[in-house]
Amino acid sequence: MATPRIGSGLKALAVCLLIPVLAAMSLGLAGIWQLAIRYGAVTGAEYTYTAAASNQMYLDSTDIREYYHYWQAQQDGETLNYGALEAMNSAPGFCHSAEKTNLLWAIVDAGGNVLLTNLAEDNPLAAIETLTGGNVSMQTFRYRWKESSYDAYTDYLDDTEDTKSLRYLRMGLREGLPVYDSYAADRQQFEERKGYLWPIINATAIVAGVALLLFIFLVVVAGKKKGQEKIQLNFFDHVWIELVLGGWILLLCLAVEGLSYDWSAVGVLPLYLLLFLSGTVITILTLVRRVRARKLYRTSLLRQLLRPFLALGRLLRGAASHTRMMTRLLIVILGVSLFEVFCYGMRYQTFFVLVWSVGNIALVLLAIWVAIQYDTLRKATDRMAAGQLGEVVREKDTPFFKEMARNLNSAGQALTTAVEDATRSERMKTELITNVSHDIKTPLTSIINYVDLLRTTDITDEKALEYIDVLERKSRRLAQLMADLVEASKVTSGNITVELETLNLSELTKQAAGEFEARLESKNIALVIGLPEQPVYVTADGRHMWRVLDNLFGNAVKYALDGTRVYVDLIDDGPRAILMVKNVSRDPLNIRPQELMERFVRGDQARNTEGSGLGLSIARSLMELQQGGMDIAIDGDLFKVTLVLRTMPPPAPVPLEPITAEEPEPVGSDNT
Amino acid sequence: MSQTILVCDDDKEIAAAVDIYLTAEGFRVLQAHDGLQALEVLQREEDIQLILMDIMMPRMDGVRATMKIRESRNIPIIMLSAKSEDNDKILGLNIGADDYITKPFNPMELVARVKSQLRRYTRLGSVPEAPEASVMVNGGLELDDGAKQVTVDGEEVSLTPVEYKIVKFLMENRGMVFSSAQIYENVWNELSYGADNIVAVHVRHIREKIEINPKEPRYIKVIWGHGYKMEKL
Repeated sequence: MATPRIGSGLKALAVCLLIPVLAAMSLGLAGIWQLAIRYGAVTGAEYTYTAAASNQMYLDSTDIREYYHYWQAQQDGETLNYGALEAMNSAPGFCHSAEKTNLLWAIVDAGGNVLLTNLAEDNPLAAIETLTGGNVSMQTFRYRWKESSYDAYTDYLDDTEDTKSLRYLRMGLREGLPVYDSYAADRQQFEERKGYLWPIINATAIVAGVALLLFIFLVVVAGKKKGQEKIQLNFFDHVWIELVLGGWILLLCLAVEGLSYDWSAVGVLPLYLLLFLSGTVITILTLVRRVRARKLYRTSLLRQLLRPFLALGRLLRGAASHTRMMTRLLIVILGVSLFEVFCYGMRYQTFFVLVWSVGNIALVLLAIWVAIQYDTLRKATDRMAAGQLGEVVREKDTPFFKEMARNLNSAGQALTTAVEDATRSERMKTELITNVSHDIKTPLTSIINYVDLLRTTDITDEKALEYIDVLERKSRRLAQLMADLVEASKVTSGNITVELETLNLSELTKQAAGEFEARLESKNIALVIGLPEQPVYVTADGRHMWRVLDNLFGNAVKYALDGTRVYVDLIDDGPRAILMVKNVSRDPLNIRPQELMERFVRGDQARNTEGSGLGLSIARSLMELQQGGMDIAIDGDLFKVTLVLRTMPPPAPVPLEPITAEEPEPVGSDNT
Repeated sequence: MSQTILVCDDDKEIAAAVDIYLTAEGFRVLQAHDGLQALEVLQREEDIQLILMDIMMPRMDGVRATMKIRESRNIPIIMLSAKSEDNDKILGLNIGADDYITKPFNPMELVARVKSQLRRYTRLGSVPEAPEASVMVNGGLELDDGAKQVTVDGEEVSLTPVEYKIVKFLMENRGMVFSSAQIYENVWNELSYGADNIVAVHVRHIREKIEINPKEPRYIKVIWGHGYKMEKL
């Protein structure tokens, strides 16, 4: 197996660890962010807001510009509407004279004239320059007033050459922040806490490293499970991928929102960050699993949306190739449609409404009539598939599908005849072989017995003794051939009883191996048995299974190279049990496995003199009768037989309990 | 005193061959070539102790002849037939035959089965001695736990200590099926890890010692995929 096997316990541990690690990381990041913001405020890198620390009201450069527009409009004698007046009066920053805030600002036109400022000095621009120590920034905008709309102005820059409307907002923070406003408050907080900055950064970096490692581990093992080749998907992996990505984007927005608005020391920002980080991990993991299982497209909304179109395409293509039924259907639909159009035209007349209703009822009845016949046909095909042949449907029951019913019946009749013929000929063949075998066995008995008796006479001629040996060997082989032939014919025609029950295949393997140990040892062949720790239970017929193993081990005795090992391995493969028998052949196996099983039937010339060549064929038929299978593989001189059976749950343990159902074992049983 | 055996087979050469084998073992052998003949011989000769009966014969077949004999006699009858189907064997044993041998047969096995039937017949015929407490009897199989001795049809069988323990355990629980692991745990008194086939090998050896044909055992049956049991006879 190519995929690494990862303990699911390790995976669960990683997930459990990742949650607190991400939480710690979120807290750390939030802390760093809050310190960084205050640092920005302190250095004057941002002039986005100012506020009197006393009343905690906020104001940014946009507010200054807005206020300026209203102020300028008022100066120009424009009439401000209610909304504008309200906005202007509620803007708090304009009562902040330079005494109340550290933010010093002035709005200047293109000619350098100061239009509005919060400084009282005669030359506000020079004052800003000196008071801020030269640390002044500038925003450029335009003054445009539009009357009679709520949003009364636009101040963006465009590429018009008009210099008259150009305005510059110059601003800077007073050095030393002497006034206690929000800037001063931020600096104070920053000075108090800056000692924590580096520890927090370090801790967060370490935590982030751990999180990254855990995350990489989870990505590597995503979807893999011990002992499972298939990628494991959970419920979440079947949610539309677009929905998942949408959710992730939502979390991203939430985090960004948190970054911009959460200024307090402990607030919702860490929670938002945690949600975002967890969401990211979950999203990436589900993506990885889906890609690994090649189900990214299949779990997408896109596919769901495209599906009706694909189906429609298929339907239309199908319609083109089923013209006969289509014509019938189209005529009905067309007729109905025309009739309905006609009725629609006459819809105010009660008589036609009546006719229209009657027509519809007739249509429904027709549909039911056809549907019943269709269902009758469907059931007939079901019966056919289940093996019930002959006349499966009465033609007069399905006038709408008359031809189909007739064809179905002819097919059923033909099949019945064929099956009957095949069964009869198979049965006759088996009977013939059985009867002939009786007739052959009688003279064969005499041959074997008299050859044996010949040996007891006082023949001393070496040659004669040698001939007797040949006679004895060949007559025994003939007896074996007869027995195998009868068995093969019975087994292949299914002319034997199979009593399937739950068997302990481990026990059976041991039993069979025990039966053969001595015979294999006498040939200097070692038996290596590999059984799983837990017994493997299968559904099989004990006597037939023994017959199969008898054949396979018998082959090993006959054909395995002396001094080699025979490997018998039992594998519990979930729903199937696999029993493998491997040995090294003494003679070269330049033959295909299929031929090995069919050589007798095929009249192959290359038969071995020792066996009948029917053993493997019998074994395979017996496996099939037990709802299992048998496969032969040849790799050089390695001969490998694989038996497959259905596994069963172990029966309830009832120790020291006799098996009540008597084994059908007539041989040697004796009525005393 | 030699025991008399009636061989009934329409194939004269087979009957003659069986005659030779049994005569060589010291039996007196009579031949018949169909069922009616067999009945005639049986009426004429009083001291026939065993009958070997073919099934497919002209005039009266072996099945009908056996049923006829069973109406008045309980001497052992061994079926000897080319019919090797399970059904034929079951039929033969059900109508009163004591054993069933298929053709072509192994002469040694034939002789062994004949002897076994005769021993049992004569022993059962005599008044059985009151068995001692330490002796367990199952058909022709006897286990004397006092003498640590096992006999089959009166003949002693030499078993290893482990084999003896296995036979004893199965004898004590006649008719019950035990898995290899259960036998191991009861005989060795150790936990079985179930990985080897040591029990199976021992049982095979025991069968070779106490059964006439280990492939068609009379006493210790292999219940494939379940375990082993001592047939209750």
